[in-house]
Amino acid sequence: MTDSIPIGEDELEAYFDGCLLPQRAAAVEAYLAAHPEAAARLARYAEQQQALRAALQSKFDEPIPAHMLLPSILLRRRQLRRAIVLRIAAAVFLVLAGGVGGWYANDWTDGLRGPLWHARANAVDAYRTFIADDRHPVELRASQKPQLVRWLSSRLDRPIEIPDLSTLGFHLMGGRLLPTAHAPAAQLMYDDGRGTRLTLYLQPMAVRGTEFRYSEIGGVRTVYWARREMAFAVTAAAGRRRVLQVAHDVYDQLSGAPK
Amino acid sequence: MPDSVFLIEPYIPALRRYAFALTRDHAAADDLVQDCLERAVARWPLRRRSGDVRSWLFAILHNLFISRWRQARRQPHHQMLDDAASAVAGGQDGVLIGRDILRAFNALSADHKAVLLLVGVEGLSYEETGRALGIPIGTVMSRLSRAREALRRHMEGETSATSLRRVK
Repeated sequence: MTDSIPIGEDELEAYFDGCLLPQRAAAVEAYLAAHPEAAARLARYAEQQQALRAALQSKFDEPIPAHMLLPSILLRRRQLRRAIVLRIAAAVFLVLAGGVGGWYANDWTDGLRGPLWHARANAVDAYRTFIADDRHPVELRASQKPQLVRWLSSRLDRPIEIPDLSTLGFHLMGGRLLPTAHAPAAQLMYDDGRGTRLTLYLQPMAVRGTEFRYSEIGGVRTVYWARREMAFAVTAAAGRRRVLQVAHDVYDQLSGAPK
Repeated sequence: MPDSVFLIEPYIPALRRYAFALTRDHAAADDLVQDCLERAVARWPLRRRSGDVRSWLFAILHNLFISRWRQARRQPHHQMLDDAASAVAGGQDGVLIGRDILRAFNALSADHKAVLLLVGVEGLSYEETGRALGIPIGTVMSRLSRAREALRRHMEGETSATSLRRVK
């Protein structure tokens, strides 16, 4: 024997498993030839291994269930991922909608469909109806202002003042009476002489006074509020700032604040 | 089709065999393999390119088995050995040998089963086995040696017990 390093159990088994360093193979073979009991033990291991492999072979040969195949796993994974993305998107949307909605929730502090909401809806409907009417945008013209004031005051059952918006460039065209589900309402129309018309809507209703509220639908902006049992709405297809200025002016004049 | 399909799929039969040999329960084994494959697909982009796919897959499967097995030990689970053995043993004389070897194998610890299966049945090298089980090569070798000896003792214990009964 050229190699004098003693043979250990690990080397015997490495030889058995084909994992032995090649230069030690001869030494192990010589050892096994000289030690039949060790050779017999390895032979026994070989039988065990063979038997174990044989006993498990049928599991290896079993057809693979379809749900275990990779394409179906990849598909489920994609579907799951898509569902998660959608869920995240929905959550983000709800958060954003909550923020934006918070701004408009002002509109709805009287309840989603409170009386003021209806007043504003009426105001916008009436604006849309009569603003584009070439022949009869108003029932009584500005030239008949005293009759208009008397008529509206009588039908609305309270003194109606007609604000003067000339400092903001709007001149009174006239006004009309409007039906509502409750008592009649009034619409006053103004024109700036450059194609922009504006309406002031007045509807008597038993509501508490409110701050200014704002809504915008398709470029038509409305600032509305309630004061002394009357709902007011200034509506125009004009810039938000301009509509708000008019609303302030109306508010000041009708509150009797000194000009 | 991604390369994971071609590189993972060929090992599914071996993974099922390994999982079944450890659990001795067809449904539990298939659940393990299913989870293993799902994890493998999820981690596919993260795996080390240098390592081979097979020992990587066995490592995922083995870790799943270990964590399940620890949970299951808290709630005892009874598996009829004979049923499990006869379910896999094929052939005519194979039935008896298969039953004996599986009965003896089942008496081993999970660590011993794992090395015997990976080296003896699946044909992994010591190094690959060490990678799959997360142990050094030296540990693979000593564990394997003890496992073979334990299996031999159990097999011989079985046969002598059987022959004793036959003598009576």
